[in-house]
This record gives sequence, C-alpha cells and structure tokens, in this order.
Amino acid sequence: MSKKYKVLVVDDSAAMRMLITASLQDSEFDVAAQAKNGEEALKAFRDTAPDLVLLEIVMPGMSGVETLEHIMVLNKNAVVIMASSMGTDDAVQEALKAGARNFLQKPIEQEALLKVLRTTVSSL
Amino acid sequence: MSAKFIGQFLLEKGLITREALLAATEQQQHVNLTLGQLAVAQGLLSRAQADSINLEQQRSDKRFGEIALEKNLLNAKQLDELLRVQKEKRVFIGEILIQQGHISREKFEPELVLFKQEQERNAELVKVDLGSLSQHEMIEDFLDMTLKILLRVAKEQVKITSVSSAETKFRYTFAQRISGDQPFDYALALPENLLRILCEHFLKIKCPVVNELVLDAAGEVLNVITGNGCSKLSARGLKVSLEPPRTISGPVSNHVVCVGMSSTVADFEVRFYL
Repeated sequence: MSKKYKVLVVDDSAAMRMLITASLQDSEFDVAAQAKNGEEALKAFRDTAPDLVLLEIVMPGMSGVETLEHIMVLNKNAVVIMASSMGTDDAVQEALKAGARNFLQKPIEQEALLKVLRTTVSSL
Repeated sequence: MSAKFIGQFLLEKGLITREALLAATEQQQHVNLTLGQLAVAQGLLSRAQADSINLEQQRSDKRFGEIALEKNLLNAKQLDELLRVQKEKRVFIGEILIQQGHISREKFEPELVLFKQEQERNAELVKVDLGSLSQHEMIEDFLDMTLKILLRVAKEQVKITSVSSAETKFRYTFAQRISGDQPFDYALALPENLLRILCEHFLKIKCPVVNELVLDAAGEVLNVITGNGCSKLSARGLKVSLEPPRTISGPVSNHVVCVGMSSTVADFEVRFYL
C-alpha cells in the first residue's frame, strides 16, 4: 500500500474543514486532525506530528501567519500550505517568507487541492 | 418592477407558474453547452485539457477562451468559430417555455419587448447611480467579483437591479471588514431560500434547514468574494487586509450604499458600509 500522508487542516470555518476533508477522501492524504484556530492548531501539530499542514491565513485571534511562525519554531522542517481567498502578492509573499511551502487561493476545488498537495509532497 | 430575468418577469406578471419556470430552467441547463463542452465535442480539446482550463478559471479572473489562447490550446480562429456556434446553438428560456407549452408565442413576444425596454432603462440608471458614487471603482470591483463568485460557487446568474442608500430587510446578513487604505465593510443580505441554495452548491450537500453549518458556509462564500475583491484592489496598488466574516443584525454605519441584486431564485442585496 502506498504511503498515506497525515494532514492537519486549520480553518476557522467548519464548512471549509468539512469540504477539505471530503475532498481528500479516497486519496493518499488522510486528515489526521482539524483545528479551528491557531491555539488548537499548535496542540494538534504537537499531538499528531502531521506530514502536511493546510492553514487558513484569515482567522480570528492568532492569524494564519502567526500560527505558521509558531509551527516553524516547533519544527523548522514543517510542511505548511497556506490557504486564503485573498491571493495578493503581499499575502503570498508574507506566507512564503514565514516558511510556507505553497499557497492555495480560495475557492478551493478538489482537483486544485490535490494538485497542490501532490506537487508539495513530490518536492520533499 | 425592476429588471430581472425574463422568466422571473413572466412569473411576476402571472403569465407562467413557478413549476413551469423550474422545468424550463432545468431543460435550458441541459441543452446549452459551455465553450469547453463544445470544444471537446468538436475534437478541438481533450476532456483533460478542457478540465485544466476550467480549473484555472476557478482560480483566476479570466474567461475560458482567454486561458485557452494563452495556453495555445486553441487559436483565435478556432475560438471565434466556437463562440459563433455556441451563440447560434444557444436556446433561450422563452423558447423552451413556448416549446413546453407554458406560454404561447403570441403572448411571449410582446412581453419580451417590454422586458428588454425595462432592462435597458434600468441598466442605464444603475450605471449612472454607480458612477456617481465617491468610491465607485472599488465598489464596481467588488460587485464584479460578487457576480463572478456567485456564478462560480452557486451556479447563480445574478444581475444588478438598483443602487440606493436605503437598506431592504432580509432575514440574514453577513458582513466582513476590509481594512487598509480605504477601510469599509462589505455585507451580503439575503433571504432564506437563496441562502440554502447557495450553501447547497458550496457544500455539495442538501441543506433543508438553516443551521450553524449553513451560516458558516455563507460566511465562507462571503470570504471568497471579499478575498478575491481585495486581490483586485491590491493589484491597483491599494493596501488591504481582511478580517473574518460575521453575521450582523443591524446597520454597521450610517453611510451605506445598497446594491439590489436579482438571481433566478430570489432578490438580495450587497451593501457597502463606507
């Protein structure tokens, strides 16, 4: 059996978490944990040691970029893909500078999601 | 009466029933081909190529033909021919209503003339009203994005029908703060049936009642509209940042621009609290 990648999905929207989880069903990516904010994300990251983190930028409280910075302190090799509806150069640049490996602009369709996840893991 | 879709126009005048309109709309979706479907049917593109263009379309602000030309998958002559065939083969809702026996041609044709006249008058009024607003470029960018995202996410054709400073009462209102050089709140106010249909398309599940998940999904649709709208503002050199979406129950500020919208399902409103 081919390797299953453990994914941590972080988004304040329950609808988005549900959609992403459904999109990854029957793929080589397994949603190991979900988190609705930065604090939950850091706990889930420590608990599950995911292969990949899919992280929304705009969240109440700790922002996605702040969460990313904390994750990189916990593991500087963490593989984090940022997601946002706002695909501005500034937002993408800030995320990549903070250590994100890739960027997904919403709305996220299943095919685009799988393509970005596969491209990201193939470069590891 | 404000300009809407011809089907709604006939429905409001009591010339067809709701059931007739639904049956005709369903038939229309079935017979009218997209440019991608047409290109595949004519052997100009493979299904995989058409899918890849559709995928790119979902992430960008471009039309199918534009992307196909950029990727050298179609040349200008092929695209022109496809557009011509698509236009030629397009079946309008009125024709289907007539074919299905919901209205006679004699009754329909004068109504179509009246509808077109009303639409032209209204489009001119909306254009003048929007152009007179102090932040019209920003508002027009966000309206354009609203139409595109609702078509993409909810498969809903939407038209702008009015501009005013008076809010219309709707059951649900979702708002999001856009901070930066020109801070404002963008809000989407809509009735329950449209909210449920929007969320059914977005979540790809049935939503018979409005629950937490439906409210959350609507917030996410709003987030997609504003996020993509912010990308446009940013491309024009403006500094912008987004705050998370929220539901609201009253006005956010006194200075509000209310833009009336009409979809095939229901009327709703986009508000800019400036």
